[in-house]
Amino acid sequence: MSYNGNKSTAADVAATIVILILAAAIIVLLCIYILKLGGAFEPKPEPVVTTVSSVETTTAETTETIIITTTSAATEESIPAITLSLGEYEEEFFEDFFFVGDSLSTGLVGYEFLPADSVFAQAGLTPSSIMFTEVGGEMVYDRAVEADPKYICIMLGTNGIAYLEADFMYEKMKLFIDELRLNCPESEIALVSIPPVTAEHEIEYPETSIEKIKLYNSCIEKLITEKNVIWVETYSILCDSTGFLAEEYAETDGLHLKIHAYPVILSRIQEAIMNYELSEGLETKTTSGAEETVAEEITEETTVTTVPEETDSNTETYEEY
Amino acid sequence: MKKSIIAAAMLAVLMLSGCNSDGEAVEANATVNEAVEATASGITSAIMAEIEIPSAMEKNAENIGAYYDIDTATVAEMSVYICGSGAYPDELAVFKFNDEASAKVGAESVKSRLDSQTAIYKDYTPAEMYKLDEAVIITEGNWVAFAACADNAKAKEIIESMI
Repeated sequence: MSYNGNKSTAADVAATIVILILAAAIIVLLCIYILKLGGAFEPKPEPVVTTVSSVETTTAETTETIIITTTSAATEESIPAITLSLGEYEEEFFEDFFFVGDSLSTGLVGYEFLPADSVFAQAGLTPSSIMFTEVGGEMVYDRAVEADPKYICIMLGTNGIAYLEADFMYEKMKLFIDELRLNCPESEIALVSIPPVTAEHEIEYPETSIEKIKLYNSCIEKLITEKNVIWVETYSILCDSTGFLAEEYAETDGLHLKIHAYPVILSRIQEAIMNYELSEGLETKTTSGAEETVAEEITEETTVTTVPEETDSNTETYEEY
Repeated sequence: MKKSIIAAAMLAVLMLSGCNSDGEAVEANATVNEAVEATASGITSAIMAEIEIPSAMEKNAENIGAYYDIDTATVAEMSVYICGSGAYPDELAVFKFNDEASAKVGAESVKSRLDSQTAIYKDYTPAEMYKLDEAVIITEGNWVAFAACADNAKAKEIIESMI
């Protein structure tokens, strides 16, 4: 009994020593961890939410962490960083653009937002008829080649909604995009959603319903991936709270657009194109630039005052690109 | 004889305005001048005071080429309004050319514009076709005036009274 009791005591002592050693090791590791992180046990900020304003409110240490995650997160997720106010667009931005459309696009020239030589548009055109209709004695491809634009913006489909199936127009749009690419291989193509109509227009012409317009827009939106086009969603910004074309944008026929609608559409196009360019930049140039920024932050232990400068300079790089 | 009467009338007006420096005399003089010297913008303004051109946008020598194949060097003055939204075929165009020969060429361009608009809108908005079917093109000396609007008869009346 006593032998067993002694053995048991020895085992207990050994176990206690092991536990103490483990506890000490854990404490030491925790201390090292605390020292390494500077006691920053507060939750890490979400990688995606980092902005200039959030950087300004953090401490020097956590700011460093944020910048690292910011650059890597931005690279991975390509979140649109540029938001323009509705109606805020730059005329010069569209100097290298060519617009293709129907009577809605004639408004770009009619209201003098764009010069006539950068717009190919005529009342009644559809994604189908655009391919064989001359406007001013010229085909769209000839005009596009002549313009040699960086971007071709297409807003077509409103005229077909009443009598053509959405799928049919979608197929024709694909063909049209292919033909444009053959003629203008250097141009990027942006597809603009068609606008809603007013409630009164839908009552008078139920064949041009909001439902059909939405269906068509959702069809051609698929071309983002299928034809690698830039999608410009303008439908929602032209709607009122009831989901119809807002009165301030609607011509008296409830289908066409008043002058106030065009700056809104142009601002949305500019925003989409800028974000497209931004995302292209992140995939190529900006990724390496971001990595360099991270390296500098780690080695130099920069202070709060230097952080916004780094972040700002990155932002400028994106915008310039 | 007719010329003598007009000259006498004008002389009388000049004498009146010369003799009286009050507002009434000046106003009377201006009224006579307006009647004698019509301007392109005066004609379109007179029409638009009576007839609405929806979403009217004025076009000038710089951008008229998108609508009319006219050599602006041959135009002394012009006033053109189109429907900016493209929803309607409403349009007013008044040109005063440098000479009658240019006016004749200009009238052909205006006719081409009407034909083009008719071709576009006949299927697009048949309900609006009466504006084009009853459109008026008036050529008088150096003047060429075109109206496609909701009341072409009224527009014609105004144009003819002013040129």
